[in-house]
Amino acid sequence: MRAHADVQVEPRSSGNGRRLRISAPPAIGTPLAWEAAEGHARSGAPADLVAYAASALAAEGLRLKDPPVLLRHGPGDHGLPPLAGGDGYAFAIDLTDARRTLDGGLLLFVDGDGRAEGWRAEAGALTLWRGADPVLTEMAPGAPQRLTLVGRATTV
Amino acid sequence: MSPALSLRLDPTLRAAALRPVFQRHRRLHIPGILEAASAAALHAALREAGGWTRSIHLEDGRDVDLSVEELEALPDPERIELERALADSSTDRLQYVFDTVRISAELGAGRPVAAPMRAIHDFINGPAFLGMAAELTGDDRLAFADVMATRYLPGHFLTAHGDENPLERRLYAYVLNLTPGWRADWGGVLMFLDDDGHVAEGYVPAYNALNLFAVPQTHAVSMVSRLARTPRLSITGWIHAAA
Repeated sequence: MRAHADVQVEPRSSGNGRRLRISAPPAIGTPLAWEAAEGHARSGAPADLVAYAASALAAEGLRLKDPPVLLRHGPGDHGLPPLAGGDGYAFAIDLTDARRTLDGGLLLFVDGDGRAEGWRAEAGALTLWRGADPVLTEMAPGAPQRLTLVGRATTV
Repeated sequence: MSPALSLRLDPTLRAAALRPVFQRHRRLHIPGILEAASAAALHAALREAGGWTRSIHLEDGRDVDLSVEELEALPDPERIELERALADSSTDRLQYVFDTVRISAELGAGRPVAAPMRAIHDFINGPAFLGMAAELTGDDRLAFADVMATRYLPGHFLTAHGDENPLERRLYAYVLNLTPGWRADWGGVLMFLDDDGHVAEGYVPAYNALNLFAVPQTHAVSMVSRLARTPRLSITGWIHAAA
């Protein structure tokens, strides 16, 4: 809840983030070709993960706009590639679990006033948003690796 | 009030008008709580303060306070290994790591405290601040506040906890953030957690904003990132009922 001078401001949603539980992600069977990106590593997604994302999005009346990307965040890593923009949706599907909030790797939606809300990683959780991308917070030393499938979607 | 540091609330603040929101949600983020000149003076006092202690709380309840001056005097390999161990979240031993000046505790123990720190303590315990808090919360039990300065550097954090301590009759917790230009991706976000460990609401530490919340509420401060270009400075503590 925020207040400014004598103006009351009711709690509100960040408006652009929505979290859904979907089925458990498939195991990654094929070796991946990771390449370094800013703050994390990225790889193309194997076909079964693409199908998994497509199925989850279809249940929400959405389809993939372009091929999703697999991200790997280890201790010290952070951030997402630019995803939002235009009139479509962006999404992140967690493929791994965080043990606790302190591990970092939180998907935080922060509004212009600095109010945040968000989620820790949970395997089989789909986060959908429009508008500004969330922050993926820095992973703490010793935190388990975070794997996330991210991409853009559009209405069917 | 020390003549060295004169602090005043923003005179346009209407705490009573905020009471319904606070009472409904048990927490509130109030931007611009101090007059601009007061906030700038307080920020400068914190930035220049000495006598910081690296405060570490272990899960078994032990507090370890290490002089930051002594830590910085350690040989590099020893200091780096210690800092690595403190920041390692693969163990659950640590509850928090940050730098602090425990102003109220120092005063209570009769030890000398720098004039600006005493001024902060007196201001927080003065009629303007406590009166504002009473008006905002609608609670007439507020008797005194303990006060500490905190400084979070990269790797510092506060794990989830609720602040309950029946012996101390804590009613409310407060955090007055004083770092200008803080960015959300630098971490240090005051996060209120739901039962699943997700972030129900968080406040990026905005300069001159007061966060006030009823105790208990599960909250944490996310780890400050290596990206942070400046320390996360704040004045924090609890407001207590009379013993």
